[in-house]
Amino acid sequence: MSGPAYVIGVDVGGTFTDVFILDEAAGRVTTAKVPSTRGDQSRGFIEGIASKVEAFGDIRTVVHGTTVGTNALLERKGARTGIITTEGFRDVLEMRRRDRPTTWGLKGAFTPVVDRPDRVEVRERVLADGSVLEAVDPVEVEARARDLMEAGCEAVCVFFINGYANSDNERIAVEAVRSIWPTPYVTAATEILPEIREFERLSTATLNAYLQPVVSSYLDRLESGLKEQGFDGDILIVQSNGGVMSIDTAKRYPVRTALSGPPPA
Amino acid sequence: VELKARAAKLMRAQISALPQGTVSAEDWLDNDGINDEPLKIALDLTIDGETMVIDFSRSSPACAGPVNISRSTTIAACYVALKHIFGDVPANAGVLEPVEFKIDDASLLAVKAPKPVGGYTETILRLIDVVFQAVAKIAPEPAMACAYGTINALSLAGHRADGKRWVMFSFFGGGHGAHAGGDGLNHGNAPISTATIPPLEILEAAYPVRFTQWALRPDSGGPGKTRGGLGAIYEIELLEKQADVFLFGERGRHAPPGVVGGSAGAMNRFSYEQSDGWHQPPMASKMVGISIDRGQRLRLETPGGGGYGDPLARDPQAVARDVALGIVSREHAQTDYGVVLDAEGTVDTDQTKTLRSREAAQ
Repeated sequence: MSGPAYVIGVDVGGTFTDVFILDEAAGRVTTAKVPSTRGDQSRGFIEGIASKVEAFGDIRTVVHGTTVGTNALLERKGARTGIITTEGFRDVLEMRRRDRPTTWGLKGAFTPVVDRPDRVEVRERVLADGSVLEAVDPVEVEARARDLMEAGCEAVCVFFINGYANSDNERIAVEAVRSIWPTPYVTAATEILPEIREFERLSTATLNAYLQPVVSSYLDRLESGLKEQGFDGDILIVQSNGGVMSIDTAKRYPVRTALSGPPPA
Repeated sequence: VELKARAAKLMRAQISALPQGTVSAEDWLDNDGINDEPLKIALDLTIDGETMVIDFSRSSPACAGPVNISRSTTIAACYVALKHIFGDVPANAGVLEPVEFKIDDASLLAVKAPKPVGGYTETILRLIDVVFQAVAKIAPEPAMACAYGTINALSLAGHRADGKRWVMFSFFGGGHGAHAGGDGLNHGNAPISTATIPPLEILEAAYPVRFTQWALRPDSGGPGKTRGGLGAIYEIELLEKQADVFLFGERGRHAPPGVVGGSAGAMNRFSYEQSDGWHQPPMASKMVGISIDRGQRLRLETPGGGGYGDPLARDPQAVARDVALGIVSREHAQTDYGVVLDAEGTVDTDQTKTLRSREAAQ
């Protein structure tokens, strides 16, 4: 007779961490509720599972909806992020689509997640038909990346105009940044959303960079914490669209967890 | 019917809370695009118990160019202005029940066919501006300074290599006015609409143009205790053989005013490049059929919003931050706000105090 085979769902809320445990071998369902551990949610997460599961090696899959990204976004507690962009376009993020917050009353304002001095330009240009008008110089990109690093940025987003039509320049630039950046927190806009419309692509990619240090380090702690307990299965992270992705994908595309908590709730 | 009555009741309550009497505001259109003469939009606004009288009698007569509007358009523009100020009142016709209009039939604000009205956007924006300015004099709390005040309708037209005709037509954004609660919005849409701007990537994909700049315009926000929002810089290069350029804008000679002691935002500035260099339209903000060739550029620098309150009363730290962000220059920090910064960009408290008291005395 084989032992238990668990599939576990974990939802970390502001107050409680809810754990749903399905033993596929026995066809039995259990739940647990433990206090959430603010600061490092992975502790409460593991304690919650440990309260019902004897051997973590019996867990096949953990499915996790996380609000770590959501909270960082809402509370504006993401990492200081720099943007490297095409000359002439450092303000795309702040200019938006020329909208306003409310129809009536001209009193709203928007605060960009990246301040203007952390948005730097390099010479390069791709046209709408995908042709390269001006090739990017990786040395110039490296220099700008070092400026951002010295200014205190933890993450970088590289975004070039018309990158959706041809991402060659953007790819060369992002490789130049990755060659000197001390962490994996470097995002290329076309890796996140390779679609036309500069503000939408840039803002999504910027949030990815902004959330990556926070979400990625949390997922690292979670992963190593589970491993220490003897866990050897898969960790799946809920995406904003309700589907799931692997933990490695979630570390690369943390913006997809912006609404990871709410869909399963 | 119920909602309309409710809106009227709320509007009466808003009006009766305002001080009794008459306030005035005058503002200008650069010209009508045919005769290069300024056109006056003058408002005398009277609060009489629960009634508001909006009197445009001192405004310019009907003109030859298309900046005339009909009487109903004038009334609708005032509705929009009042709704921006008194946002809690439901959006329906009840808003105008306690409002009485005086519009001279001979004025540019009450024309009938066949007078041209195609440039109405500029005129209704100016109407909103005078309502904002007049209300600010009696109700500074809910008031806003003037927004950028022009649609900047720009079109480029030409033929592609295969002979097909192309026309790129778009409106451009600018700064919103400052208000008691904060700085104005940078690069907002016009107060008369909620339309957004097409992405530049869409424009480049659809038309033979390339933007060489799409940026906020530093030093364009009107100085004030709270600062007007920034206008924008759009620079466009032609990628096809030849194009004709048309612009219908405003605020090329009369900047968006501030209110409650705030200063005006930067004026609209349009430039175009030809083989003999850069030019500006003789009528400042309007022109037809200027020809440009491949590689030549157009540059639109749009107005910022007006400031709110005395610029010398702006928190020096807020000015230092604006300088750090590169949206106010050191020079303007000093001349507009009386704020002196040291080499690191930190406020020099003593020099700032001295400069401000000297400027206040003038």
